[in-house]
Amino acid sequence: MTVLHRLACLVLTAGGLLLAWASPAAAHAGGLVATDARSHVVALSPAVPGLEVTAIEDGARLRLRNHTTVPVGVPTGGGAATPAVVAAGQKLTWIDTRSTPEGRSLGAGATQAWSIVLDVGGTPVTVTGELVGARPPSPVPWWLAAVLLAVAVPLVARRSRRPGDLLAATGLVAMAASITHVAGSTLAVESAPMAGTFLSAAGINLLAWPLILGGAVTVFRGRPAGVLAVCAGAALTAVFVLPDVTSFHRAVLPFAGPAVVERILVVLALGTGIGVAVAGASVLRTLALRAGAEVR
Amino acid sequence: MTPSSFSARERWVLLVASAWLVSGLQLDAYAHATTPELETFWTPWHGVLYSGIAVSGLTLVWLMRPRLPVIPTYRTLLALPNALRVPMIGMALLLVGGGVDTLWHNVFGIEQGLEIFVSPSHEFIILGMVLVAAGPALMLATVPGDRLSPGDATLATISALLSALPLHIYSLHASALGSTFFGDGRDPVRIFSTDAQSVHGYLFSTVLLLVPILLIGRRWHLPIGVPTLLVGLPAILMHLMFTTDDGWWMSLTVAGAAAGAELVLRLGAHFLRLPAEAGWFLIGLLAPPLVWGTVLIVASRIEGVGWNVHMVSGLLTLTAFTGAATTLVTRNVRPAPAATPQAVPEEVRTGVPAS
Repeated sequence: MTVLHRLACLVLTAGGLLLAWASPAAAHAGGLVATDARSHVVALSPAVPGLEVTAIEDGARLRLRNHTTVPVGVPTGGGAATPAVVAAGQKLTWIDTRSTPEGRSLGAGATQAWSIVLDVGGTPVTVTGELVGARPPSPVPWWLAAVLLAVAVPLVARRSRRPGDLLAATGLVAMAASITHVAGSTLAVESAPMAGTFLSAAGINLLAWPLILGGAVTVFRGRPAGVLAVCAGAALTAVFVLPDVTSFHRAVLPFAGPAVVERILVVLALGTGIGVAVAGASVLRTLALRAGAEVR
Repeated sequence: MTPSSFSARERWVLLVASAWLVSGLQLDAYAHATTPELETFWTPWHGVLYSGIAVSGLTLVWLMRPRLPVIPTYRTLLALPNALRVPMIGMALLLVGGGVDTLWHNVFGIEQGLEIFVSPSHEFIILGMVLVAAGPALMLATVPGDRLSPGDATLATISALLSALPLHIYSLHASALGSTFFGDGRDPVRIFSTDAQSVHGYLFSTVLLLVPILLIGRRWHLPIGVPTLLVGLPAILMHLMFTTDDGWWMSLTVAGAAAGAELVLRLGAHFLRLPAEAGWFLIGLLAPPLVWGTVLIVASRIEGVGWNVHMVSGLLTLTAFTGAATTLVTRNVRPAPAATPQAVPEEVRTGVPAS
């Protein structure tokens, strides 16, 4: 076993242990995460004309619109954003640890009540809400699909007569899945400007996508050197979709569309990304050998 | 140009890129240390940090491109000269660490306090930064000769500083530069205590401050002032990030003591004319107690030192031993000679594997 093989085994084992021991998600600053529950506001007691409190993004955040004539105080105890005062005519959108489903472990269909007492011009107003547990999927099929893809790509590439083209095309699939996944995640966010959210969700993919696209175009123009760029971009795509493998384990996904579509996109980005990166070793060697033979 | 030689322009471009990267870390650490409840991802500090990663990555691609064959393979990538291979591995660690870090946060939540400094994904990121920032000095080391021009000395010093700084920041929990604590006066001192933690801080900081100086000194004649800069600047920058409430005296004392120690040791070496290795051993043995001893003397006048004679003398002796051991290891551990030096360059040149 070579050093690289040993390292790969170590990484895989560590990754397996990590995922096997994964506990429910805790709050993550600056972004939505997959959870196992939804949260919503049930009532304001007493109701105040002009005061509106809603749960958005499956309950990850609360939004308070103050159309009354007095300031509204949100009490301390809800995390970094509280205490807060919302002036008349203003609104506040925040993650409140008292109402968010992040880090909550509820059984499917189980409910858990929550409440926050606001100060509306000196009058206490209780916001009551409810967390409702959702059934998470079985993660096994999704992981299996990702592994199968990661194994299949190098095997197919090995038998292909034009392995460079195959890797370029597969890299484009990983890129398309990644872009759709990022766009879907962006559209699920209501509380932040879309352009900034897209950039935040894309992250290092902003480097990976041009690498794959540029590499693929180069390959299709008959210059196999582009395969390396495709492989590098695919590897980055796989690494940067890793945070979203939680979608295999959680029920409520921060994605504007059916959860099954999000899981398929993650499988495609992860499986084909790893597959292309792994296949690159033998494909590039084959292409270099062919080029060497042509030169001789 | 051969694959293993680098132009001055290439060295300086990577230096600027890695300075961008490490400045991002420094600014981010400063923001987190001084702005409580910094929750959003969209901060100017993150902007510098993440753009620094992108700029460093693109710079490495730019540096690798002319050194790879027409059809590069993974083996030709791994066969690049160390000056490129080391920062390339650093960039890979940075990117993998970044991806794993977000997964880590999604699964286990965001680290707080000490967790930040021991989180595995953060370790990947810090190690990656260190290796990327070492690139310019490694590129310079490929140039023959053991004398540095002023420009090259500047480059090597900044590169060493940028490599060491993330480690100073990351070892804040065991750093003598990250706090101004000199004992709470308990007698006897409890074994598990802040006082005990401080002892570790002096030892770890001694190693971190010495290693860059020793590595530069192993390859080149050490230019005058470089050791002072490599000790003084981290002290000042750590002060700016973490101890601004405690006044400037300690970081300035460390910088001044480093200058004094360099002067004394250089004069001593001039008059004693010791063999090089004996001279380096003495530097390792004497420089740490000189610097930390000065700090303790100044501290006793400004803030008061709560440690008794056992603690102070033992601490300084321990820093002397630590410095001497660090010197012996750093000066003497060398890579084994390559078994088949011709096999790899052929493949790098043609891009065609031997098999």
